[in-house]
Parts: sequence; structure tokens; C-alpha cells
Amino acid sequence: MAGIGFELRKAFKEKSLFSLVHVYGYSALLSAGPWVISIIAILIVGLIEIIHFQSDGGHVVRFQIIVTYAFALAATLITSGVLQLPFTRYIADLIYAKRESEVLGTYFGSLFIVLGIGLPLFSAITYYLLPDTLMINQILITSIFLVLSSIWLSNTLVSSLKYYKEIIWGYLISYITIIAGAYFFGNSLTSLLVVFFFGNSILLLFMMTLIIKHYKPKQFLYFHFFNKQRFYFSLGFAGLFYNLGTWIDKFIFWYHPLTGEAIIGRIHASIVYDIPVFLAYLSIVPGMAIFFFRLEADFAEKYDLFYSNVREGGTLEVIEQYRYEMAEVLRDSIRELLIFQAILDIILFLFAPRLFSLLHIPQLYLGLFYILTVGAMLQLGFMSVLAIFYYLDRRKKAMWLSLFFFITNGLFTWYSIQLGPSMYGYGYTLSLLLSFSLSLILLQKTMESLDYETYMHYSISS
Amino acid sequence: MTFNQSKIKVITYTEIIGLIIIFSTILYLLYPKAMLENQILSESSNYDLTSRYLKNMLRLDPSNRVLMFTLAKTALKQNKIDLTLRLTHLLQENASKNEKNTILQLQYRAYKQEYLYAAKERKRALLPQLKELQNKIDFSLPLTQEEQHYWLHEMLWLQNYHHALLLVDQVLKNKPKSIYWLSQKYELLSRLHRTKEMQKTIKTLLKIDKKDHLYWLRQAYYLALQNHNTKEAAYYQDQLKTLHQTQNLSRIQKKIEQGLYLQAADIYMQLYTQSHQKEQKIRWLKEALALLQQYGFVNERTKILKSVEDDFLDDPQMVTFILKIYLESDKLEDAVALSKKLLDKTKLNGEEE
Repeated sequence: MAGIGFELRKAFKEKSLFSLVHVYGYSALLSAGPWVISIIAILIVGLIEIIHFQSDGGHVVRFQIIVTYAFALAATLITSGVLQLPFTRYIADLIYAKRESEVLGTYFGSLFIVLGIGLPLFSAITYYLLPDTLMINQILITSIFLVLSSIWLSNTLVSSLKYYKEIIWGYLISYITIIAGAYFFGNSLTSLLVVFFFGNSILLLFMMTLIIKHYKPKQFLYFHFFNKQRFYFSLGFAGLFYNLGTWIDKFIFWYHPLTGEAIIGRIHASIVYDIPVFLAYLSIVPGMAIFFFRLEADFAEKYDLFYSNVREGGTLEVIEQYRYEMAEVLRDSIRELLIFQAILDIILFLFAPRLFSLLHIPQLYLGLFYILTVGAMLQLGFMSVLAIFYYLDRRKKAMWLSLFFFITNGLFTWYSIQLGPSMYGYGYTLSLLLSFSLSLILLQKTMESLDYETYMHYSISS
Repeated sequence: MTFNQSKIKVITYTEIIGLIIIFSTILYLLYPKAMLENQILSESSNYDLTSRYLKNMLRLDPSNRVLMFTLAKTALKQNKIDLTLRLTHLLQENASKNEKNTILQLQYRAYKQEYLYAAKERKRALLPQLKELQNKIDFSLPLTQEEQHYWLHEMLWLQNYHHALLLVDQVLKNKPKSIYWLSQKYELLSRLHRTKEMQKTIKTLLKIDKKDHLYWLRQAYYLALQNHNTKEAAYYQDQLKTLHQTQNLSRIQKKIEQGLYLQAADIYMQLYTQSHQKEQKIRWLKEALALLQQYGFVNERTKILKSVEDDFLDDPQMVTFILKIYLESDKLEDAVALSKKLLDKTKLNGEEE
């Protein structure tokens, strides 16, 4: 996403209130837009069902939960989990090596593998989760898994192009189609699944068009990306563990007999946890925008200067200066992120009781919501440090940190449920407090020895 | 310019420790145990969520009777009859007097819910059980207003009038001037044919209930007739008449204020018709005529007089009065007709003599 930093910096230089809103609004859309748009659209579909079709909400709830599972599993198991980071890195390497003609082939090759592995895997998962569901629904759910996986892979590539506005428009058009489809045809679970599949297929085709338009192919299919020597396993595992870590507390709450219950087939949900955690995640959108801007605009600039001086033989003094400036940007960004998010959380805490009653959300969720909001803030911090590690090519550190987060979140969440309702949410939050603190220590150590490690790396590579 | 390693600080270890301490303090302050308990005990909706929280809290604190009671109540609202009954049976052990009463009430409500959806035979079996539970409930213990109404309704449904009367008496101890509860007591007493107490209650109601005073007077009158107490019946009859008259006079006043003079005159004439004494009749007639004269309804005056003139053929004073008005109003034909009537009457009397 290096190009976006330049665009954002340009807009920010205008120094007007409008440019500030424009920059942060745009950053929010790029960093969190797709998932916020999809969540809001799914909620609107629910409202349409209840208001327009006067439904009792039964099949809407089943639809929303199936879609959540599709997001969770598709994200965790194949695309975002294992493939997204290595794929991004491999594409970056191809572009750096001026082998852009291989990009399209690699994309189609990856898509081919995703669908090839995904079809039997997701068919089996669907059959296991929903053994008594209509065959047509099973086929539709498997198709949704596959189309979502493909979208995530395509999203990775399409984000590296300069079609930022087009991506946001793509998401909007796709989800408006889903909302309109739900309004006109969504009076059953099957029709809602068809509408959701159709809307996402439009998005996938839209993204594919942008990719094909941009990259000229040399060969239609490339599978080099999956070569043992070329595949970035550490990045694959880092992505997998991070996504497992993000979803493990939800899975535990869904399947723990004290907190979850079966909704349809073997698909569970948690009346206790789902709403507060969803609201807590929404609270970090502004913080994500700020960090995204800082990372892509300020940090990327210093990073480029530092590494170009290393590559092109800059003096030690200049290199040291850029390293110092990089650390400065990181320090300011993390501080700014924490202070801004803390202020936002305090405001949220003050208005949450009134907001909840306005939205008819039970006040009983308040306690858990407060704790999870603190947890989400820490996750934002942790996510940001991981992003810096990916920038600095510290894949193993990111992998071990993600593994740590996954294990502690799983263990603490499970134990917090044993300790009773007053401790719900503490498992997730404590796990993130530890992971975030540990990531900061490692970041500091990395920055201290960045010159040495970079020179060692370059001397070994060359 | 040189940069030493100590200058390169994204974050210091002291800051990391500070961060951990700050977040730990925030998490400690946010510990929601007390808030959760308060919210659960006062939650009046979202029973699925409340019940899940309660079950988990009880798992850790199985002897917490307050939580058990709350769970039993929540389960009842979720229509989980078995769970409610199971919990009430568990709670029966070592229950205080107040708790026992709450348990009985919960059991009653649970069986009542079962009754509503039960098959015919089960319904028949449940009825005596419900009545027995009603009889066991001690209404001398405090009840909320909603509960008082609920139980009265339930006991009337099962025709458990004796026990309903106990409840009503209990409520009246705290609200002796409550018209609603006094009237309920009167209804119950009448169903139980306890006439002496009915008389006593109706006397209180006559004193308190100004709004339905007429209704209670009528009831008191019928009750006296029923008891063959003629003296009292005559007393209430007089009261009824006076009240009736007062009410009509205030109606007339209202009509005059609204400018509806003909309607006001009509009410005077209704009073005329209802009166049995001649003096009274003359009074209402003259009031009606005076009102119509004041507002210029000449024809209406003579119309009224024509309708009542036959009542006064024996009264020379009134005949003179009526004739005078006919002549004043230029109604010579009416005056002639009345004179003829008088002559005919005199002739008839002479022949008879």
C-alpha cells in the first residue's frame, strides 16, 4: 500500500479542516471499510427481514450466524490466515524484481489452489456443521465460503494497486445489491444465502476486472509461489495464528456449554458474548484510521529513506539519523494511537448506557462491553506493532507473537469462563495486554539493533 | 551528528511497566461483579440473557438464595415451568416465612401457566391444586400493588371468595379509604350473602365515594328493601330524590351556560313529570316558563302550557295564571279553548250535583 501513503500525505499538506476529515475518513475506509460495510449491511438485512417481511427473526438470525461463520472460517483457515501475508510478500517481491508480468499468473495460480483446497475442505466443514440442512443451502454455504476466500485473496492484490476509491465503491455496490436483494427476495434462509452469494460474486468479478486491467499476463497460471523455497512459511503461520487468536475467544464462547448454544445444526452462538464483542470492535475503527495514516504516510517515508540509504551506501550518520526518525515516528504513532483511543473509549463509556437503551441493547452487556472495549484497544495496539514487524521484515517475531496471542487468548478465555460471568472478557483483554506489552519490548529491541541486523541481512543476501 | 543506542527509544521499559499498571488498574476498576448483580436483580426483560448469567453465577455460589429466587422468577417469565418448580422445591428447605410465601406464589404462577396450555384432563387436575395454593398464601405479608390485583383476579377466577375477602381486608387495613378495594369488598360480601357487613361497607362507600354516590344510594336502597327494612328504604329513597334533583339542577345550569335554553326548559319539565306533589310541579313549571320568557321563546311557553293545562283545571289560581300568559302571548285561540274546557267541566259538575 506504499502508494496510498503518498496520496494521504499530499491531501494532509493542505492543512484545512476538510483535508483532515478527508485524510482520516479515507484512512478509516481503507483500513476498516470493507468489514464495517459488510457488518452494517448484514445488520440492515436483519432489519429489513423484521420490518419488511415481518419475520420473527428466526431465519435472519440463522443467516447472520452462518455468514459470521463463513467470515470467521474463511478468514482463519485459508485466505487471510495462511495465504494473505505470504501472497502479499511474494507479490511485493515480484514487483521489486520488476517481474510484474508474473503477478497475474501467480494470482490465478493462488486462486486455483484456494478453490482446489477450499472446495473439499469447506464442503466437509459445511456438512459437519449443518448435517440436517437442505442440500441447496449446503451448496450455497460452501459457495459463500469459497467466494469470500477468493475475495480476500483478490483484496490483497487489488489494495496494492492505486484503485482505492474503486475498491470502496466495489464494496458499497456489492453490499447495496445484497441489501436490495434481501428487501425484494429475502423471505427465506435459502433466498438470503443466494442474495449474499450473488452480491459477493459481483464484488469478486469487480476486483478480478481491476486486477486483469492492471497486470498484463505472461502466463495464465504460475505456481512458483507455492514452492517450498519461495513460500514464506513464517508469514503463513503468523497470519494463521493471528487470525486463530482473534477468533479463538469467540469460538470458546460459542461452544462452551455455559455461554453458547446451538442455533442451527452444529453452528453455535453466544448470547452473552457476540453483541458486546461486535460493538467493541466497532469502537476501534477511528483508531485504526489514525494508525493506518501514520504507518502508510509517515513511517513508510522514513522506512524508504532508511533502506534506500542502506542499499545505496549512505553514510552511517545518515542511516542512524533515519533510524532515529523511524523510531520517533513509531513512538509518536503508538502514543497518539493510545491517547486518541483512550479518549474515545472514555467518551464511549460515558454515553454507553444511554446509547444502549436508545438502541434497545440490554444494559446487562455494559460490564462486558467496557472490558472488551479495553481489549479491542489493546488489540489495535498489538495489530499495529505486528504491522510494523511486517514492514521491517521481522516475520519470525510476528509469528511467535501471534502464536503467543493465540495460546494465551485461548487459555485465558477458557479459564475466565470457569471463574464466572464477572470475569467474562478478562481472558481476551489480559491476553492482549501481555501480547501488546511483549510486542512493544520486541519492537524496542528490534529498533535498537536494526542497523546491525539489516547489515547482516544484506551482507548474507548479497 | 551522532546517535547513540540509548537515544533510539520507541518505548522505554519503565513506560511498558507503566502501561501494564495503568491497564491493570483500569481492568480492576471495571470489574463488574456488583454492577452485574444489581442489573440482574433489577432486569425486567431479556430473560434468556439474564437466565444464562444467573445459571453461571449460581454454579459458583450455589447457596445464594437471592440468585436462586431471581432465577426462578426469570425461568417463570421464560415459560420454563419445570425449572421454576425445581428451584422452588430446592428453596423450600430452610425457607423463612416470607420466602415460603414467595415460593407458594411462584408455584401458583407456574402451575397457572401450565394450566393455560394443558389438555382438558390435566386442567381439571390442576384446578384444586391451584385453589389449595391460593389458600396457603399468607396475604398478611406485604404484596406489591400489581400482586394485590393479580391475586384478587386469580381468586375471583377460581371463585375463591372467602380467601379473596381475606386479601381485600388485608389490603384495606393499609388503605381503609380505597374506593376500589371497598367496592371489591362489597361485591365479595354480596356473593357471600353477608348482608350485615354489606350494609356497613355501603355506608362507608356512601361517605367516601362522591363520584358514584347515586349508584351506592341505589344499592343501599335495594339492600334495605331486600332486608325488609322499610324505614331505611324510605330514607334512601328520599336521599335519592334529593340527589336526583340536585343533579338535574346542575345540569340545567350547565345548559343555560352553554346557551341551550330549550334543553334546560326540557329538564325542568322532566322534573315536573317526576314530581308527585302539586307545589313542586308548579315550581318546576314556573321555572321553565320564566326561563323561556327571559330568552324570548313565546311559542315554546304556550306549547308547554297547552301540554299541562289539564292538570290544573281544578285550580283557579293556576288557570288564571295560564290564561294570562295565553293572552299576553296573543294566543287567543288557546285561551278560548281553555275557557271552553273550564265551562264544560263546570257544566259536568253541575249535572252531577
